Amino acid sequence: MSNTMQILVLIGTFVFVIYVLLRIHKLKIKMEDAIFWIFFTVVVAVLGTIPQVTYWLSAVLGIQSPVNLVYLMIIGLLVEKLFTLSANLSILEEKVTILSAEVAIRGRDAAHSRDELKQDITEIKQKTGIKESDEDSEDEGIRSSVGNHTGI
Amino acid sequence: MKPLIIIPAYNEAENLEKLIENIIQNYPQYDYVVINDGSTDTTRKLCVAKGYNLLDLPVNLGLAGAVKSGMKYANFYGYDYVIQIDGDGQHNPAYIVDMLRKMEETDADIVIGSRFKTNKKPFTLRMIGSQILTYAIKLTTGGKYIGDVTSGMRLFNKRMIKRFGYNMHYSPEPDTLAYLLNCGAKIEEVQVEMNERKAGESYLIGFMSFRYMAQMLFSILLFQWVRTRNEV
Repeated sequence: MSNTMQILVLIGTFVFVIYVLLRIHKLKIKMEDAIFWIFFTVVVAVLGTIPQVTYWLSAVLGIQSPVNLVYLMIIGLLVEKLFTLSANLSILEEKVTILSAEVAIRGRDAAHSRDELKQDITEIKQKTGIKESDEDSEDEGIRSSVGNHTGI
Repeated sequence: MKPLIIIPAYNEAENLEKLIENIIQNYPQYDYVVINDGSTDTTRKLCVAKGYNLLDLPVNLGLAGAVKSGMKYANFYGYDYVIQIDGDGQHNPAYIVDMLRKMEETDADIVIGSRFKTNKKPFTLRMIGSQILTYAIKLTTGGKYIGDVTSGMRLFNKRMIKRFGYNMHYSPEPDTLAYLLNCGAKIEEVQVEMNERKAGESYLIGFMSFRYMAQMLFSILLFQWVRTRNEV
């Protein structure tokens, strides 16, 4: 690998690490993800700037050009990341589906109980002979209390 | 206002009933809420049938998400103190009064129900891991010794309720303790006895623990220096 390449890798990884740390500083990345990216950068930085390691490893693995080893490592790590991302995405999609279904079911259930309550109150009023005109204010009282309990 | 006990429960139907009955009958001075973390067993049905106070999460969020939900609940209803205990019955509510007293005496933000405040740590693989985290915290917080860093029995005051309920990086884990100590929060320990787990599976199992250790050490030794510090 040429000197220029080494310097480029060094600058590149340095800037990238700063960027990752900045994200952590602003609390915009989860620790688990940050650990992966720091690890990733360390691997690339070591391979890119300490030629002895790269030469030795490529000799062991039978790779002719050491720079190919660097690419191989990067691709390998990225494939791993891509796989876990895709796996996590599947889980997230499933969770969104479940959440939507649950919100719908629970919303319907809440509306249903509210209607039942309303009906009960109307019946009680009819039995006790309270005037219909009082109903509006009573109604709103119930609605807000139901809303509070379900957190809507 | 009564202190609130939050009980994150993931597939704890077998252990939960005994715990809640105990709280209802013997500790009416505390409110409680069960947070069903998307259990796949009969946890939800049991709570509904028995009329327990239940916060039912539709999907599994993990311990951090369940605790966060509990903190949001506490904040919504305006509680001043929150005690987190596990749903498996390993924590005895009898010690809560000690923890509350300690909080009052020392004006602490968090009081940990610790197995190793006065008792010695046993020499097992798990406890070696725990001790490493203890030293990591001691090293990074200017000598604060917390014996039982992974204890799931904790008492939080109002300031901490808001933080744990609304910030992204406040998982109920040792790295958060280290970070909070460096933010100027006060953390104390009270000796408690814990029962062995009775049934069901724990949040932390076997091969996960290596990953857990690596993550915690990274977070305590490295990341907490980079995080924005919100002084208490």
